Amino acid sequence: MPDRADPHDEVLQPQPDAVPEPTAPDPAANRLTPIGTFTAWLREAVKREPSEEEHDAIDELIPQGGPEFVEYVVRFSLLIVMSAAIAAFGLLADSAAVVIGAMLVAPLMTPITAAAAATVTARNSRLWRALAIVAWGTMLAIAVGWVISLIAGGSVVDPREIPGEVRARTFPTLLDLGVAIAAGAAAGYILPRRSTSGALPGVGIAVALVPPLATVGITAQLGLSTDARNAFLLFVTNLAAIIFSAGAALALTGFRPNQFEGTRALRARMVITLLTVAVVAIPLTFHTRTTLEDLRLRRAVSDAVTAWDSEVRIVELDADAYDNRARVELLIVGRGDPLPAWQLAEEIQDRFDAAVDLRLLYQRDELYTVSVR
Amino acid sequence: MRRALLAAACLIAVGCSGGNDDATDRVIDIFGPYRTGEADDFVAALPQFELDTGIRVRYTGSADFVRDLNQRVESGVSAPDIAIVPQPGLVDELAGDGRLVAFDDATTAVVRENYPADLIDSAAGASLYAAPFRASIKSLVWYRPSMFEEQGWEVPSTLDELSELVEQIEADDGAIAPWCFAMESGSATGWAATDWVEDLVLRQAGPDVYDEWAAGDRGFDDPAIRTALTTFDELVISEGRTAGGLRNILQTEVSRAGEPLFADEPGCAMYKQASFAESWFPDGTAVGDDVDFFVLPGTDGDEPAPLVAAGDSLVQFSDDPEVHRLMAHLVSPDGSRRWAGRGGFYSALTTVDLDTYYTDTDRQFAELFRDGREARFDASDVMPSSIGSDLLWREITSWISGTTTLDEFVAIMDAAYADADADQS
Repeated sequence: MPDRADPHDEVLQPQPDAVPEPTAPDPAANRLTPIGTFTAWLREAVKREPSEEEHDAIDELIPQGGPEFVEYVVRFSLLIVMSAAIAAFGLLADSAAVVIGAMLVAPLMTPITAAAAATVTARNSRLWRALAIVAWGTMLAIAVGWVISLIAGGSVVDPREIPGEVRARTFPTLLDLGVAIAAGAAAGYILPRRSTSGALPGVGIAVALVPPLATVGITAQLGLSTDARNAFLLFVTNLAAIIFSAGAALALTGFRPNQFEGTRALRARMVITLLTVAVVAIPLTFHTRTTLEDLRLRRAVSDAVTAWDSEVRIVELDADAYDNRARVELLIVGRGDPLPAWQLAEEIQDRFDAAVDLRLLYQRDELYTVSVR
Repeated sequence: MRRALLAAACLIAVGCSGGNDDATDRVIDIFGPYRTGEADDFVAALPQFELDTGIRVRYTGSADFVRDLNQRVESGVSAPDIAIVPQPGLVDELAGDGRLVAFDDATTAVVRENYPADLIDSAAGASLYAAPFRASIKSLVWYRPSMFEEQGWEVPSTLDELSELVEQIEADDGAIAPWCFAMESGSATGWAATDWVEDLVLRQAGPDVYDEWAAGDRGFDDPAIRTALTTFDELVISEGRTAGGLRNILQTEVSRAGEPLFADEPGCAMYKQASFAESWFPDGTAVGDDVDFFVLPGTDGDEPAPLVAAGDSLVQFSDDPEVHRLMAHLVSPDGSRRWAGRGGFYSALTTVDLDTYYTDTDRQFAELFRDGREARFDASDVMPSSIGSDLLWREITSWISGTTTLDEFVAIMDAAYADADADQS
């Protein structure tokens, strides 16, 4: 038997002078939920005090005042303008490489992680300062995207066929939230450790901040308000998820508020950031469902084409499902004349069980349109 | 979705067996030319029938309707149960070939009760193979009153005034072409052009010449038909007359032809298209306010301009009791009540209240038929389908695209008539 007092004995025989032993596991933990138990274990496992150097690393993210702060804001603004301009041109040119370049120039990660650090350490003035810089950068990047689209966009982009790089940022899903949470956690881990700062650009690429804002500006200028809203949703997703998960990572590595009511302040702040992430997750869930539905439709169309004529080949397939209907655009090549398109549309309807509007382009020059209800 | 609706309704009604003893797994196939929004409008009448009877109905609409229907019927295995056919010539051929099933007594009684006798293609007591469904007026010109007012243009009252207006529009504003016109429609490409020519023949040569031409008694090389074709070329096809030019005419889908009229910076001033074009207008377009119409004027401004009209017929290929039951539903006022309420539908039904059955716009169309002016059925749809719904569409497209000359075009058409006559004799 281990040499340990029975907890019931402690109740029966109070010891007023005894100081609670922090290392003894609380039997009450046995009554916690699995998540609570895991959190308690994690808290014990990673319990440590951040070094002074680590504290300095996060304190120095944004200067606290004076000429240094002004210099920082000027530098930040210039980098935002340049990265947003690179991003906007890269988006309009549909160049992934250029857009990644813009991600590496973008300075937004610094104030966002500073906001996460200020959240964890419960330093409100730093938090508001960081958020104000984020808001300023947000407006600036959107404006740059808007102006560049105004100058160059109309001549190179057809609003009905926006470039793939722009389109990729106009329909965020839960996967984007997952990326942002993972990348935010990485940022929270890397920030205090100067030795690992070489990994930070990877975080900036994984969870891009300026390209979605440039996309907001471009799509708004082109009059695509839904796309602009969705691109902004992607930015807000990234913002909320980074603050939450970077904050969680900092908290798990020992950063705490200095104030007396520290733990409660930390908990309240983390709950607020978590709620923000949850709110953002609602539209993302709808988007994810739509994406899954589109995927189911694409499979149904592929299967239907095979059942319709196994000799033909799909060159392009554009399909989306909404309001219990499927809009399908197909480019198909094959030998000889096609089988009747109405049969293909009915095959699709048999598999997808919704209203179908099919536009079939056969051999690039024969158009067939069919609706099935 | 309708399958899910049926299942839900069955659950709510505590079993479908009570009211639907004759429910089967049979799916009734309807085939027609209506697509996208018009397909939605047509099937709006079906859920109630499906709930009442437990019979499932599938509607398929194809842009290549005539060719597809002929293939389906000739294959002998994939004929639909019911079809909606816009070409009376094709209906006559299908009936003549013994492909159609006569309506049962219930359906026949509903048709005779609800439609005027002169529209029913059989004598009292004889078998009935087709019923009128949706009617349309082809002779309409859509325009935006605000644009006409802004530019100082006036609605013309004669064909000559229309020609002057076209010249004026072209001279006034280079960005606004006189016409929106496009004709791509799969294997039916060309019908939008034949509608134009028919309207001009009816106006310039009169109803008698029109009837002779539609019946095949007057050829395409006839001076009256040549005049109409030349007028169409000068008024609409010539360079500068149409938004987007010849390329747009040949490549843009018919249903999208009117888009430049509604653009923020309009590309055309007038859009001649049938009453059913209302279904193709952008959502929220208010007829009478955002857009309005006038009847393509005749040669004499004192006489009401004549109408070229068209109508879709319901025909039946299956003799199943379920199909008869559905047909009786479709030919009744209930078969089109939902579509009529949505707009873009009117018919020759005599037993419905004009004021409550139709929308304001469709009521205006119905009233055009009732003001005593001359009206004729779409000539190309009356011609034998191999000529009017195939060769004519194809050859008028070749002529417009410049592949053939006018002389070659009319020669090909008349040779086809001569061949058809030789085959018959």
